[in-house]
Amino acid sequence: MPNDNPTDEWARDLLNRAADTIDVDPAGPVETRGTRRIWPMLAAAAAVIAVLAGTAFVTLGGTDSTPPVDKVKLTVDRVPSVFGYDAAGARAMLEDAGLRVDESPIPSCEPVGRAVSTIPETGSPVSPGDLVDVQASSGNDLLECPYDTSSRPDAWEFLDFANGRGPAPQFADRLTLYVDGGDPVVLTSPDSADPAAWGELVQAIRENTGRVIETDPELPRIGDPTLSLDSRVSPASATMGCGYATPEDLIGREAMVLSFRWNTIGFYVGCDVTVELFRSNGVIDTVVASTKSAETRMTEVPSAVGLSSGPATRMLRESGFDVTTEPTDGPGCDAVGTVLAQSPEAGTAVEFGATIHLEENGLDDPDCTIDPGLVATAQSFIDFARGDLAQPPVAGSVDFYVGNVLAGTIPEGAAGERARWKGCPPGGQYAAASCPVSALDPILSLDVNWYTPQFTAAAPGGVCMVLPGSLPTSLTASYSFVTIVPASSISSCAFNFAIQLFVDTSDRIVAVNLVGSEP
Amino acid sequence: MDFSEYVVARRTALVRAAVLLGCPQPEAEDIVQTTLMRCYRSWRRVVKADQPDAYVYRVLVNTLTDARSRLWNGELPTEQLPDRPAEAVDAITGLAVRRALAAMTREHREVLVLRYYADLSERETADVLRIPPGTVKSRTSRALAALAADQNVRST
Repeated sequence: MPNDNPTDEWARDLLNRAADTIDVDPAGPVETRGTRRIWPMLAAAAAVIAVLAGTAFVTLGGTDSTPPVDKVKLTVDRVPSVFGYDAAGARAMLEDAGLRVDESPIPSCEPVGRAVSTIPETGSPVSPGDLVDVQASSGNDLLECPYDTSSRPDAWEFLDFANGRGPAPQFADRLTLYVDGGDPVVLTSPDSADPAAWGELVQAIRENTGRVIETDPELPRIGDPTLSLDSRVSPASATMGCGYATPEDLIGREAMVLSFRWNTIGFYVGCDVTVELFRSNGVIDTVVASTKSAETRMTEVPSAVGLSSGPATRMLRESGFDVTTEPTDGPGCDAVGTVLAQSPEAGTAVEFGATIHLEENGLDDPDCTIDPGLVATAQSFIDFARGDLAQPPVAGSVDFYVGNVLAGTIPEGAAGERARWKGCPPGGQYAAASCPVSALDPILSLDVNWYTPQFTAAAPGGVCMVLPGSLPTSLTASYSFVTIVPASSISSCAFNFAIQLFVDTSDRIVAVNLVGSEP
Repeated sequence: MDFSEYVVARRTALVRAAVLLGCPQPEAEDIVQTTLMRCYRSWRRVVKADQPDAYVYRVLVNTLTDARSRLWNGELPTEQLPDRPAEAVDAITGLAVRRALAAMTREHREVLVLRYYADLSERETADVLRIPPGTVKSRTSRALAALAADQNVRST
């Protein structure tokens, strides 16, 4: 019926009528069968899948005579996973399984030649003699990879070694191995080059990289594990993997962090198997690994910086923390009582119930203003974001942080390329937003809604601001900064951001830290 | 509400919302499955939210955005509506509304589905879409006008 004055009720009725014409199989009851829990993490994941699989899974779960599907190991009539193989290894493995094999290149962020996927995909029904196409990486020339790909060959080298598919990486003559917070074990050359000498770590890696998860027993789509890679310097408060304390002699050293995840379609339950490789002079001298959950229950410290004292204390106590506060001796740019710093810092993993110490601004500073040079740089950055300036003022290459975590570096000479101002922190997701996130979009978002950005001398922080890491002191101690924020009157947990620009003494940008909010 | 109860109670509505948001129906159940799995990761936080639905819909919208860029363009076929037997009026209405939604900009489609099918308030819709409430209001007004003006919707 024509409607020239559409009302809320009219629209509500229309959309619900339209929705009612969409047939959806109802979700079934929760699957509770759990006798196949060979691997606790997998069982937990399978329980989630069971909830989501609906009526089809319930049928398979035992209400008729259909034998239950083994969710761990593929039967011989399924395409096996090629995760962890190069193209030649994948071909040999598939041909051994009685399949014919073709190869085709595919652009990928993985090293050239690494098997990325197959057609049909892992877990698809297959018969002896069927053709399987191995898709091997042709490199990332055509891609904008959301992470630094330079270290991935080293990660795969270690993984291949652990799986018995490649030579040992360069190990030190004496290599120290920590597994699951236990006492260190020293492996000497040439024993360290034998995977068997690595005991439970190699076993855990093989179990995790050799298994797959079935996501739907009716439509066999089976997920491969994924290899995540990161590098970090272990701070004093760091914990390894699922909560084991960092060995003291490794504090301050940089490690390459490998983790293997049961990441079929974007979730995981429990802890990842994590391996941290420490190098000296190019050779691996220490390996720290987590192969299972720690018993200590850990949580991340939320950020209270930027809040006033009362809300900060209340928020932390409601989150289960004890709180102590102390005013600063000198004046600051923020209102009296504003939390200027906290210890441990936001994002640090601590035990539940830990005490958080807050440092609050003790005195107003009536002369507190932002340096005009900083304001000019921030304005230039905004002009660039709006397309009114060809390039922001930069000193050279610019490190791009997302939520205090390094997400990439804009090379020297490339600051005028807008696509470079995007990044994705390790893990592939930030503040429930799709990766990569852009440092320029928040400015445009303000413009679209006719709001004016503001400048502040305060570091990003506050409730709902997502700060999974801490900025390196080499940055915060060496450079001034100015922060671009929306007006406080329009910012909310749903819409808030801070773009922190670090500048050198000539007010040229050396680093950008984009912080977003999450309700 | 624990996770399994939520899935049983809301899954059908989420799948339908995904279709109304422009997702081809065969993929909608996958999208919702991915959405729920993402929510499962932080379920304690979801249920602590004032409006768990708003949080889940936000993840659904993000998941759709990811899939849209990767898999499909979200458009429905544009052939003429079929002649309608009297008993199929609802089906015709449904298809007309879905087609009208598909013809809109994504921004307009999202506010209509979230406000009038997911039944979220303006503030919740703003939270889901990460836009100010005033923008939700103005987009809703324009989208409602477009829906009311759609020739196929008017003729049902």
